[in-house]
Amino acid sequence: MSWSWHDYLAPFSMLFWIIGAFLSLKNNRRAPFFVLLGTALTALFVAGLWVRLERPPMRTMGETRLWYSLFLSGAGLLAHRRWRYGWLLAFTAVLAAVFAGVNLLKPEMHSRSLMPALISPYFVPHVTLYMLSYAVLAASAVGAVIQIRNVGSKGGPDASLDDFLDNVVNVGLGFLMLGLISGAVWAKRAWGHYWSWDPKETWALITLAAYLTYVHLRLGPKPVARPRVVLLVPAIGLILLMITWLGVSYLPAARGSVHVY
Amino acid sequence: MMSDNAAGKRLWIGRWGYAESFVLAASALAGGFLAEWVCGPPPLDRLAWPLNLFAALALAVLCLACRPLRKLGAVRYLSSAPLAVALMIALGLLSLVAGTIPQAPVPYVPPLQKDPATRLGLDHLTSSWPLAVVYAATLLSLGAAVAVRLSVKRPVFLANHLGLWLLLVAAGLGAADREREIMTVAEGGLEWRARRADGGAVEMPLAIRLDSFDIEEYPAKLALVDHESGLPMEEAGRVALFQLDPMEPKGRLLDYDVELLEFIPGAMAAGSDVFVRAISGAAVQAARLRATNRLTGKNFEGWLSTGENLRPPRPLNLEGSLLLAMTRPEPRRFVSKVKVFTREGREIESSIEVNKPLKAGDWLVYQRDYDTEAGRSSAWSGFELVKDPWLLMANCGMGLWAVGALGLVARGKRRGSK
Ligand code: HEM
Repeated sequence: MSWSWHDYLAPFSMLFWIIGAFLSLKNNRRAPFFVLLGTALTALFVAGLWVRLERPPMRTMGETRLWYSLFLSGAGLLAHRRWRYGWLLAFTAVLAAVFAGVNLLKPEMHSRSLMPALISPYFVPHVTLYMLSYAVLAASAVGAVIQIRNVGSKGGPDASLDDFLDNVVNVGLGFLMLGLISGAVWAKRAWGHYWSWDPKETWALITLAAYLTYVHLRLGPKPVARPRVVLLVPAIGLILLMITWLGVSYLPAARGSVHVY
Repeated sequence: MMSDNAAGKRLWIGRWGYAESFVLAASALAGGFLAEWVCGPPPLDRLAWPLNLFAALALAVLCLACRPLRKLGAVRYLSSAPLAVALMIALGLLSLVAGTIPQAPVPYVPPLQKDPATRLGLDHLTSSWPLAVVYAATLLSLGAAVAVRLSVKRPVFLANHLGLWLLLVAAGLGAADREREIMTVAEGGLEWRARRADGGAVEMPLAIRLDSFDIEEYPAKLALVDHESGLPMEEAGRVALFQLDPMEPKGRLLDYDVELLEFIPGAMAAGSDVFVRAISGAAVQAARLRATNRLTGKNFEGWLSTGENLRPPRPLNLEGSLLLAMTRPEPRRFVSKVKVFTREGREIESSIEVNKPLKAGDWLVYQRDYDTEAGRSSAWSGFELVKDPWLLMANCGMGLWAVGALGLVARGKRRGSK
């Protein structure tokens, strides 16, 4: 399966995701089924592309967006099974569709070649862990925004949503750190040192600091800080995360970064 | 003063929270920037062996001393979440600046002309006073937090925090002991001198003999070139390229349908218009192609090849001033077969490639570069020699931290919540 298949498969995935999201908001029982269809179709395409390219399809931005769609919808399905939030499945499915759409509108040069530094057993786990954590942490941002609205409402904050946020941030942070550590181990093998303050590394650290801040804010003594301020952190975290992933190449500091392809 | 009596003690414990922590962290940053402005960058290279070992030991003792003193207000505060949060935010903010303003290369060499941003350290934050101060405070606070809460009942906490502490100590205090040198070895030659970052030469405790250097390449790409201007044709602002790929022989390049009829990755010319598989020695990539103009239906067929040393690439002439040419192939792998001799008399025969460094005593030897102009026939290979005596500690720290990260994923919920 080459990239040209994407033009035919992606619209179907997107359609399934959008239908799933819509049904999910209506609390329809069939919502997960439709989301799963979109996810399965994307998984099939990723697998086909991998075989076709003879390398993991993880190098170009377009390829990582593909994984993000896949993990986001997958993580949404799993979290939905556990927490039963309709908005959660809807949000992850819509975002997955958006990233598939970006890939339709922004076809990039998809070449077979992979530079030597990327040919490593660390490549796949590194990218996979990051995409997984990005997918999980995106869900925490939406939950946080919903909880911010709850805080202001008559009913007050939803206690189980707090638990959800702790759960999702812990899991996402765990993957984020594993992504960072696998990157550090790999950097030692490829470039000679595990940390070089490369802009992408620096931004990964900023993102990490934001989520660590959230985790520790939740631990402190009772009147932690104002709840809304605490809840802002995962939302800001998502922005930082998107800059790390997609925005770093546009920053002045990224001139000469080894991470910009 | 306050801890003299019981009430004062309670005050000290109870009152110091987020507000005080943010003031403290802001003061640390302000103090750091002031120090940078007044004294210039900190002499971090002087914190070398064995001074950094003493510093690390002193830090460990200080942190461990927090264990018996954990009831003390100051120790409780030092190891508390609010201080941790303030320090994380300070570190995050410094990284935010370092990730936005281009940073000078490390090790930092101060310029002669200093503008205010340079004096504040904004262009070399990673080796500046503000970072050093916040880093040191984090080491102390994190270490104290571990010592105070040391218990097998908190495995996730312990793995994360002790792991991170070990890593931060090794990365920070070990920085001055790390050495990186660059060594260029000619094919067939023996070299034991390295080039320093400042251009000087140093004798290394090991010598490298380069027995052979080989590159594996990806198939080249095709571009349409206007030979009058010498420029390649573009599409949507980028040079239009066609990836040669024997598995997908047909495709399109701008107005031409391209069909790959034959591809020889290691070829040599046999006569004026034929390429055959090369038997040995310098080889080029060659392809026999058919290109058909989609508008006029005119078609062109012939051999193309990449260039090699003094021989220019061979293009295929199309209409007018247009030609079809192969671009310089990208390397898939480059490998140096070497023999390394250490001062202790050890000899290691091995090959070195990107992502596969060679360990020789205290040093790791990395494949760095080669003569990219010459490509496959590069006459030299560049290596980077790296030494980091603190690597073992850093690896232990990363390993423990990874265990903690896994623990966080497995546990999911917050500690103590149902
Ligand atoms: C690798 C990064 C870090 C992770 C994943 C992490 C995670 C955690 C977690 C999950 C807890 C909850 C306690 C438990 O599970 O038993 C915790 C507590 C704590 N962390 Fe961290 N942390 C990190 C870095 C830091 C740093 C850099 C500091 C200090 C500067 C710090 C200071 C603390 C303190 C003081 C507590 C205890 C809070 C309390 O019990 O009231 N942590 N951390």
